[in-house]
Amino acid sequence: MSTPLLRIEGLGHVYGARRGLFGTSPAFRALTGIDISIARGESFGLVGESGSGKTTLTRNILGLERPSEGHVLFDGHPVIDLGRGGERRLRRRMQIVFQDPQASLDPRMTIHDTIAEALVVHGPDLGIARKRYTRRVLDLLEQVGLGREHLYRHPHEFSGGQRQRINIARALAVEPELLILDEPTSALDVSVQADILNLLQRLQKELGLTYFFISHDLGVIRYTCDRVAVIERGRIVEQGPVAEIFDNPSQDYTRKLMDAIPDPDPDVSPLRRLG
Amino acid sequence: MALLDISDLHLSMRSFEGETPILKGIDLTVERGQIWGLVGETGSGKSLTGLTISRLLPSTTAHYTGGQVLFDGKDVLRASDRDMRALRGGRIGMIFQDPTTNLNPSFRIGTQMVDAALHAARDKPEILGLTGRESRRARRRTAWQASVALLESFGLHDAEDRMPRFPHEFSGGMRQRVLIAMAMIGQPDLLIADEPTTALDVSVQSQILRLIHRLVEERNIGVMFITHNLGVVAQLCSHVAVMYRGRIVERGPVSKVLKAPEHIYTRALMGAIPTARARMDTLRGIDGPLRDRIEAEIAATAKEVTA
Repeated sequence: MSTPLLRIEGLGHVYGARRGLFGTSPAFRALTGIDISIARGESFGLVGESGSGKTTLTRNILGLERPSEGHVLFDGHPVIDLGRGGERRLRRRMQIVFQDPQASLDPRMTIHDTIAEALVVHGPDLGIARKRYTRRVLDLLEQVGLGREHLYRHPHEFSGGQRQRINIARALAVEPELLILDEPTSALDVSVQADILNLLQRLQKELGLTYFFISHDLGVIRYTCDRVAVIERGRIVEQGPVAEIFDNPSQDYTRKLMDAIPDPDPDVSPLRRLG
Repeated sequence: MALLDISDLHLSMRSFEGETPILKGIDLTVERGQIWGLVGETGSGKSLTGLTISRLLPSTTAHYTGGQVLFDGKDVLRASDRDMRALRGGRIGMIFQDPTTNLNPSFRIGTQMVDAALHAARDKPEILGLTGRESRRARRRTAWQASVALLESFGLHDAEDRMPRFPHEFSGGMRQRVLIAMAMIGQPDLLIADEPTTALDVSVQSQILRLIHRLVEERNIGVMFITHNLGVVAQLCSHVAVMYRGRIVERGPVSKVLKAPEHIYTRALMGAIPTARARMDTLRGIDGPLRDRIEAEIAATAKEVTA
């Protein structure tokens, strides 16, 4: 069997007791015994409520936090203690798209500069010459469904969906292998969300990307992912193929989450049945 | 007489570039015991319709160019500021999307609850069982007790102990319960809920929806529930109005509109929702050509009406 692209083994994270301005905060255990293995080209979903540890897990994957226990291996290598050059090379191979498309773009930079900035940092590693940057940015914009006319505009001239396309283009600029999608559509209208989800599916097929997709919307996970893990209070309570987990959840917690999704069919709404 | 009767409401917003029409002839009637879902995309005008009912839009920019909003037979667009202050929090309760920004971080929950209760009691002292002749202290004590009782009944346990705490010590779901309690303590006849569950987890969302459902059953109030989530509408609402660019394009009982949507836009919205049953590549966003067809259909209906 080939090496999984991302392998998380026995990961635990404890936020240490800290003495701050307003007294001491006690140690807090955010993650316990997380085991996840994601193969190349797979789309892996992570579902959980606020405070369940989704963000801490993401930060550990990106090497932004040092795990208290266990480790995170990207393509067989740990993601921490790499030195500056190693860190930069790793960052190129995994990219992230955040929830709020507005907050993740600099309002004073044109779209060209925003995307080209990633190339300035990683261009040498990718072997792209400086004079080719604009051409590359244009290709990327086309890939996400935007065009030449958008090149020198600023973020405020775009709608939420278009901004998220720009964020995706920027993440793709450095030809990553793993794309972490942290609630990429929860700030968008459903009509726009559908377009972005379809775009992500197309890009995955074309570029052979691996997705780590975080969402609290189980419908979105089911639509996008092959496998899913359900996280509750820092523990994975259940993981497996999407169809299996969704049609046949073995854990009460998963079932509770599923029941809580409001179904747009008025005949199958639990509340109406109760009422 | 209907509780709320909006007819042919037109609203324009002034800016440096001139006046932009926002609402283009809204007609909507809400009766007691009905929960109306107002759905639509960003910018369709659903929130502005909600804000209009309690006239919360700044008069410097918002310009009503036609129509009327009758609340219990009285036109709120022409009511005095004093009457409006009595209506807000008294007969019309409102809750909003973000429970954090709607609570003042530097005052205790109890203080904010009591203030809301006493504001409502100024015109309706009977809601707290007051006669209007008690001392300030006695009034506050009564308002405190009423607040505790209401919070407890809304599923906030140990409300007595929580009242002296600050908003940051509450979770999102708890804050939203506090805000619903603040909206309901004046025993309003109409509740306007503007995306009250969008910022919450699904499990907390279903608790809040149950609470609103219960309020309608127990107190026979009317609710206008603004959301972009058709799933929430299907669960909670009795009726739904679908808005598109300042117009209501389709309306009716939930069982009819969501089961057999007639308007092309409603169908497009339904087709974009990833449900537990949707499979790969089956979702369809609303792209340019589809928008053109929606616009064309709306223009055709508008012509029919004027002809």
